Amino acid sequence: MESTVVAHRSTTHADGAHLEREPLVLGDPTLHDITRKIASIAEQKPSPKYLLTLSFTAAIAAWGVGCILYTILVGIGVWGLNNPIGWGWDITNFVFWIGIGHAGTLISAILFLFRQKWRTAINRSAEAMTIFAVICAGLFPLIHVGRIWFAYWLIPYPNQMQMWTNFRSPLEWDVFAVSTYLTVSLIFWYLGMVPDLATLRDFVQNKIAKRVYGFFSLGWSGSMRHWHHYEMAYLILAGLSTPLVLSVHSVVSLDFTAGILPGWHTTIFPPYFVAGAIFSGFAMVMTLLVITREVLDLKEYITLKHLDNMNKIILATGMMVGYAYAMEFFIAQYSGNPYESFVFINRATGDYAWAYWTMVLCNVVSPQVFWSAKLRRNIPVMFIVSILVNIGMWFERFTIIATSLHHDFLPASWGYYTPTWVEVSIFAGTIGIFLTLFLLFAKYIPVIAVAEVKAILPTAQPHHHSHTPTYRASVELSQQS
Amino acid sequence: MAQNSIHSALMQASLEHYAAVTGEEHYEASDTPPALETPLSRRSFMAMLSAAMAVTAAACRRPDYKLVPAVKNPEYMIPGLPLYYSTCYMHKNVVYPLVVKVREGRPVKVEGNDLHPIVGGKSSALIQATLFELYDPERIRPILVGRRPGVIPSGNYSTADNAIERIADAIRTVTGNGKEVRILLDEHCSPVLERLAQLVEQHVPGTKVVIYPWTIADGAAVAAKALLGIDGTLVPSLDHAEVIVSIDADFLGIANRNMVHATRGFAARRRPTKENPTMSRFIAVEGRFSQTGAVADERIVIHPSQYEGFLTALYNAVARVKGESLLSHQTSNVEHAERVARELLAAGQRGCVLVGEHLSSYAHAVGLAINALLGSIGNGKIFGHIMPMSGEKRPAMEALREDLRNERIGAVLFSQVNPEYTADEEMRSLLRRVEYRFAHSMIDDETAQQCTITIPAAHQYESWGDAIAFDGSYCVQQPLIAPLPANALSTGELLFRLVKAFNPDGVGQAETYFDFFKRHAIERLGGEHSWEEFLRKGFVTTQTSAIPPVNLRALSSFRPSMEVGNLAVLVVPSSSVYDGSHANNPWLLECPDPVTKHTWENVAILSKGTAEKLGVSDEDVIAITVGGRTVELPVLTQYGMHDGVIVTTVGYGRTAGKVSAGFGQNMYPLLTSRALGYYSAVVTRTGKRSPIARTQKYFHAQFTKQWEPQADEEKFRPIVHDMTLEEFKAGKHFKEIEFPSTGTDGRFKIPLNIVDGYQYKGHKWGMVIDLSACTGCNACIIACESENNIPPVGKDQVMRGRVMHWIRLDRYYLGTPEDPRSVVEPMLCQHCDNAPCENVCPVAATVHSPEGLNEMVYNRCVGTRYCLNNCPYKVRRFNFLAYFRRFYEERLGTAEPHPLDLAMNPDVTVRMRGVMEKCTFCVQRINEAKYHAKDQGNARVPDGAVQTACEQACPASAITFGNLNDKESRVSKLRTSERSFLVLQELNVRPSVTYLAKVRNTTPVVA
Repeated sequence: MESTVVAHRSTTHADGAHLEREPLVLGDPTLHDITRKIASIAEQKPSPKYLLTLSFTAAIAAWGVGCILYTILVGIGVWGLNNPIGWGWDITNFVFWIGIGHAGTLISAILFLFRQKWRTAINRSAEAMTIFAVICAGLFPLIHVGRIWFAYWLIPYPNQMQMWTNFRSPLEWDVFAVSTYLTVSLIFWYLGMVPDLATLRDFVQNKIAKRVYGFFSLGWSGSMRHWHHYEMAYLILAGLSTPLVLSVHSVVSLDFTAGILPGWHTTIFPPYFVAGAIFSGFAMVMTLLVITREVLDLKEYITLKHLDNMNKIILATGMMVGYAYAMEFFIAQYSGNPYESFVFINRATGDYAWAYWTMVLCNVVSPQVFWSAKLRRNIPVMFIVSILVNIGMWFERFTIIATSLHHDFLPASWGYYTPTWVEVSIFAGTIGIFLTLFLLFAKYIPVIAVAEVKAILPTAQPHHHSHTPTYRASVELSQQS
Repeated sequence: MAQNSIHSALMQASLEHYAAVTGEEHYEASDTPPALETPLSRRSFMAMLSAAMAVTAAACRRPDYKLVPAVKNPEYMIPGLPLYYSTCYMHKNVVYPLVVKVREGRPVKVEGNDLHPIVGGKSSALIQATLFELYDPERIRPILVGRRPGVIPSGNYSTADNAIERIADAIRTVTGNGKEVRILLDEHCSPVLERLAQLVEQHVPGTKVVIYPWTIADGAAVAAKALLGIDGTLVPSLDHAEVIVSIDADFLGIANRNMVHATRGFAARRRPTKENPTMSRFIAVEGRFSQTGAVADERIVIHPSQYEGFLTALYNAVARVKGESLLSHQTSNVEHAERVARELLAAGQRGCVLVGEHLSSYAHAVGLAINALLGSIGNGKIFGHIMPMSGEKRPAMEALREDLRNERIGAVLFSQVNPEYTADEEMRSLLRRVEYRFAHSMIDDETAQQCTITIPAAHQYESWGDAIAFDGSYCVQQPLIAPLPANALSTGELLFRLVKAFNPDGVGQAETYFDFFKRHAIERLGGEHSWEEFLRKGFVTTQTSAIPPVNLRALSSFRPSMEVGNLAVLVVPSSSVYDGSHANNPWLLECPDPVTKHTWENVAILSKGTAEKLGVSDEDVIAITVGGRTVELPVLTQYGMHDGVIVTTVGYGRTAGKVSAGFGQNMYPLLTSRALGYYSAVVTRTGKRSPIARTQKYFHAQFTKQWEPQADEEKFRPIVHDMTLEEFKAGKHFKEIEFPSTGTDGRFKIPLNIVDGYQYKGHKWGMVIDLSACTGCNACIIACESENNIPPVGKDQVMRGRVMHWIRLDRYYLGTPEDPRSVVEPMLCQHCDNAPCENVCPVAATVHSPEGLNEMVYNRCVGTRYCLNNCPYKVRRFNFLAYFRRFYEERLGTAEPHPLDLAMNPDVTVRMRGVMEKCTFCVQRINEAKYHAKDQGNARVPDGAVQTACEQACPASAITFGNLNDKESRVSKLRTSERSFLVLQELNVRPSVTYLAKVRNTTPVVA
């Protein structure tokens, strides 16, 4: 495959006419090839390997859910939190998952609006990832409260207590930001999937599957009118989602900036958090895509070019967070606020210095390998870096939360926090939930946006240099209709 | 269940009501509500009812006494309103006159008697915590018989009377065999007990009553006997003192049984104002870093072996001026001593030397002599009172040992003493060999477990009794509730019944103990007419004995006797559980040490230098060997200590009592006949580690993680302040931070608030805490715990950092680690006007009241903990687990530790898990005061009508609470003090608590 790319390039160079774009789909598949390729995944019987993996992730998820129930039954005290440190792994995981959930919408909506065609192969799985990550994220604010049975009080609704929620609280903003984001992402994802679900409906043989896909494809017939409405709705939703990408994580960051704690109370957080979210989101997409394209054999659709592009974004956003780290430090000293500067010095040298330096190494140093084009296209390297970035971004949130809380204004109240097995299990459980949902998705829902990929085939493009593919495509199109 | 028990408490336990059933039946009844299965006709129901009433009327019932409420009360009980009764608590031989709040028949809060001159309404941590012991679920209920092999008199044991009969049988058998009987009592200051002890010795054959203290520190008594010819020790009144020199005396700590009186007197002279910029000067000479030494104006750190030499030098310096003959014994630290002597001489009769109670009789004799030379001894002077019943106890104890060795004793009755825990090995085995062993104890302690019969002891709040205070006042101990265990007897009643069993006429015509007591009291009062006033007021004032002149010639009979090696181990009473007699009390166990802030156990406190020398650090376990006996303790390092001193405490390492068992180590086996003081020790590393639960781990106040030596002022967080008296006089004050309203170019407005601040029109509550007066004694912590139903959480949770105390005493060190200055800063909710906790709560569970209170609405709280994170003072406390019951579940195995539920303040919610809580400024007390004010037609609560629990308890009167809108109120005036500062005012949170900086009098007093 790689040789093809090289060969392709060399021919164009040899022509000397101009640099031709690398194709986004390799191997010149026909439209039917694509349909068959993607739809057959859902049709095939699950392999033992798949079932084994699924049961493994489901077991982790079940263990995590068990630990959540244990927390609810016994109390938050089964975690390691204490009096100076009211938030620990719970909110760290919340922000971490919300961050992961960012790339999906970014890839889908923003890249769509910017007509970045390379997004088509990866947007579906990225969106799925967003939804699953936001589900995992939403779990934490819910279970971290002391009395989960009253958590619904965070929703403003007319009630007999005549109590309204406190709209001045950033946690209240979170409720709106996260739920809006989840809703819009879900609709966006589902809407984009409707034509593909119809394709599956038409493709699968299993009666039940046909009915299910039929139900969810909402009577899609592929008519011009359908396509017209679909495109319009998709565009509007893309437009709606785009500001959400920026708003959600900005709002989440306000949980900290609205506090008066040194290390939290800083205006750099909203852009810094958004950059970090994109950074971690792309890293997570990368991790998943590398696995998916290997396991499901989608190398022609998720090509190295896609991965290369994503690595560039990882490099760029990684440097943004690196800049933010440096700027935070600088401002802390420059502000002349001794509480502030102590917190930052303590981050780098105090009890949690190991967490801080893990973060710096993973987030700032490790993506630097992507300056090399060769390494950007090296699967093992990008896989390792993506994992490191995920680890680093988790530690970023942990550092912000734990180091700011454990040594704040009055030394007499200082403490230290270590998580218990319950907190670790719950985090592992959310990873289990996430992977389980992703595995189910990869099997039963088109992992690649079939309709969109078809649209970016050379066949579907208007062209100047007449070549066989164009001819072939037009013939095929006429045959299909 | 809970309702049932409150109901039963209401109906049955109160002496104001006629309890119709016995306590035992009542416990069972509350478990199983009676159900009538057979349908009854109206007629038969009425018949049954009348029959039942007839039976009830005829049934035996508990005696009913007429109690008289305290002066300020309504005359009778009104449901929902508290009644206050005057009573007292005898803490060993020191009496604390009290007023106890009783709600629906159950005592719920203990306060000092505000009419009494010694306590003046104040109390201590220990006194506050006695309430728990009243309701201790582990109290013995039935009479325990025959749990240990031994001779048990045969017969019926169903009631206390029967048990007394059996004990009398045993005494008859024993004396028939030519042996003798001993009754061991704890130290006390009760005239009626003393009288009964005489009657016992008179009427019960072969029986003697021995005062058997838990600990012995009788240097002062021995010295006083020789020099003054009195059988007791002198009590200093420090409000008279100008210069105080303490030689290792922790007189502000719980180690001093009189600490409330000492703290009140001391603190009275520690608060300079603009109008009166004077204060006493306090020089502490010590090797350890005691709670008292921490407040000193100057600390002279010397090794314990030099104390006597220092005192000798001090005496010689004073004697030289006074023209007395000098002592020829070895002196040490002469330079310091002469300097100190000059100050003492300048103060004259307003100067005093206080010698640590655990020091030798020589040290005390020299101290007494110095005070005599200064002229500070005598009625109306600093040493104007004699402690009652503070004479020597050692000879009687040694005589007892001799009698036991000679096997002359055939029966022993232990009344509220615990030799199995406190005595040395020989004494324990001697006592165990006694044929008949009887115990009279509140809980099933180590000694009770070795006894054949154990009679439950009544708590002091359940008994009639009296006590005599050092100022001569005669105090009543009025029961506030019938004994919760049905057969419980007070010590007095036990002795009374014993006398009666042998000679019914021995107790005069008294039918009951109460008759006897009343007659005895009226005799002392001088007539029946004073009886009611006695009960109402709680005490009557009587004459005190004059203090005889000091015989300085007797000084020559004393020789320096303290011989301690280079490494001296000091064993003192615990700052929380005292000598162990309060060890089963979780309120006290969890009360942090005032200096090191460790809880739940005893540790070996030593200097960093010593730790380095031993190669250990915090939490490493060392083995301390004294006289061949070894105890292993975890290490805790402490600033400001001499390298040759290790400090530890008795009171821990109990094996009985589910709450206390297993925490810390028993230090009694190391002591020679339970004498407190310094011991030469061999200390080795064990290589083991033992985690210590501390409520504070960082003590410096710098902008660095560790305390940097030689740091300049800039490096200190401006969160706590101290100054010298000179600086105060020179007008040093703390700048109010001005928040800029315009930008640097002078044009742009920088509004701190976009709306005007809330205008508090009515009350605006505020507090002022004087750091100069505060001695860090913990009374506020326990008072708050008792008032606000704060649960103990257990050692594991303290280690996790989850202690629930609403007020904590932050201790900071200023200066350098070599020469630390310590300041205690009580930290509680600051009720900020711009509270950062309020705007972050998503459900508005914490809101601001129109009176400036930061209110926590428990039933609205969902527990996001955001408020805790955003609180810059970190004073919010989250119920991580079901703390209201978890501790008892774990230690006692029951989620409903009856009758502990009765100790709860019914005006304060018990918080469930998952809910945030914090100081409320005792909002229940504010509301009560407002109702009263309204009843009397006042729109405003008069100043002083609301006292928060911490303020009320504080023996130093360091806390003042009141209305800031009232310009005449004490808080408003104190707030304008030059010493005032706000903690973290740069955050513009605008706290309602103002602190007054600590002042140190570093100017030597000159004549």
